[in-house]
Amino acid sequence: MLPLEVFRVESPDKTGAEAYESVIRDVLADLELTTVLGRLWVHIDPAEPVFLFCTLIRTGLPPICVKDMADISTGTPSTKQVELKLTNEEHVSTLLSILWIEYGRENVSQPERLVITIDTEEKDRVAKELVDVVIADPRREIETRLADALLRITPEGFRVRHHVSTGSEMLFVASEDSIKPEWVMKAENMMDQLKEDL
Amino acid sequence: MLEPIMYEGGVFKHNLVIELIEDLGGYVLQTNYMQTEVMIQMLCPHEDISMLEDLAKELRAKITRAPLTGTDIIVIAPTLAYHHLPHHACDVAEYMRRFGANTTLIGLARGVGRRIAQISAKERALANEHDIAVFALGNFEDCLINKKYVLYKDLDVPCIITGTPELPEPPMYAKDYVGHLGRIAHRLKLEGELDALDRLVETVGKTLDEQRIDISKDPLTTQPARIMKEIKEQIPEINKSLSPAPITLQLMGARVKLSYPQHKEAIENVTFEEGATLREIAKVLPSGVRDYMLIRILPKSVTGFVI
Repeated sequence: MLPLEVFRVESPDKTGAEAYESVIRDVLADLELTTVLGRLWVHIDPAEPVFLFCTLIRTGLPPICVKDMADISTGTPSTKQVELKLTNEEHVSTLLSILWIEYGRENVSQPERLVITIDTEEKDRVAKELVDVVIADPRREIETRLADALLRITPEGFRVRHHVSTGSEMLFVASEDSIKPEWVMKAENMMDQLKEDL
Repeated sequence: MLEPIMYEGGVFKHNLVIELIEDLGGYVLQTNYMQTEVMIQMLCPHEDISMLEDLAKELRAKITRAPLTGTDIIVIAPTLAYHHLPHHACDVAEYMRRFGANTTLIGLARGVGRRIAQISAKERALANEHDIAVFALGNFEDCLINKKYVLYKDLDVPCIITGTPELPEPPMYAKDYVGHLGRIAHRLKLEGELDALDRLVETVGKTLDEQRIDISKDPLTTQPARIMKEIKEQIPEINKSLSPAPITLQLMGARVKLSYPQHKEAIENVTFEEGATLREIAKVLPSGVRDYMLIRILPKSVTGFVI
């Protein structure tokens, strides 16, 4: 799936649909979501009034673990510490706060810019369990940004909302009245059509 | 007749401009210093503009006619959420400032939606204090024509609506409508968008001119600019106000940014050369903005004289 290979904004009001397309483009660009979404179909009918938003999310990056950003070593047998040699500094602040919570602030030190040490009696166990600790999860971050984008795009008065979100798709229905089952069915139909020839 | 003019130039010798305007019988409305630059809004007698132009040429400054000078415009967005701000409501307010208007931007508490849109009595009173209300609305024709009029149908001031579609005639209860200015999530800088802003300024200018003609049928006892000058000279507290425009001129009076309970007496006692006091020629009312006061000048038909 290419980024935004399907981008459809429909409405009985043609001018309104064009204006909304521009708003959606701006919001997606602001929140850096253009490469994250694969297919997008929005339907707005102000007379009903309803706003339907269906999108397929491109499978993104895997979670970043400690092993992706540092080499873990236990040093010589006599030392009582685990040493992390950083290979990527992007998430160091998150890593440090996780280490502080887990091993105590007094046991974690950073003698050099690219070196973090953890003082511990059980260095082998610590080294082993550290490997797969998740530091950052881009997918969760994308979900947060997508939720933010939806709130920004949806007409502000449409405060009754229904959404179905899985890791790879997002279906959203909003209105200022109670959500009617036929709107949800229509959105589900749209989603099925979006998923064709995938 | 006094012509609204905006002077933009260096701070060096700008006091010559202020002196010239005062000598010619004009009024300096607002002076904004921006480091080494200065922007002066003023009213200059029409027949003496050439003198001002000569001086500006000598000082390498720019002089432009600012049709919205001396007016107080309120720009109303459905709410203060990021759906409407900073683009396009703030852009609209800012663009009108470039033509000399004093603009206030407010977001309604419950102005969103179709069925649920409403305006409170307080918000309505606040809008009525201004010369014109500009409503920054959205994208859909159906909402603009059939639903959103509830926001402005009971306002006494003329309302100009902005939205995306081009409508053949303004929606019900609205004075005028400007298209291509609906919900936009980027700064208004493209050609079509700037054209739309220019059309808005033109429309607002036209509506203000109509109001001025209406007022001239029963002229005000004195000009708002004259009241401003007298207050500045007789009420020293006004110079302590930190607002960029401590006295905001309106077509029919002014908003004075001093506390109403504390300064009402003093303002009412402002005396004019001709012997009249402000109490005799104007009403001093509390404003909806903070505890400021609002001056409404009485027309000739009420006072029986013009000064």
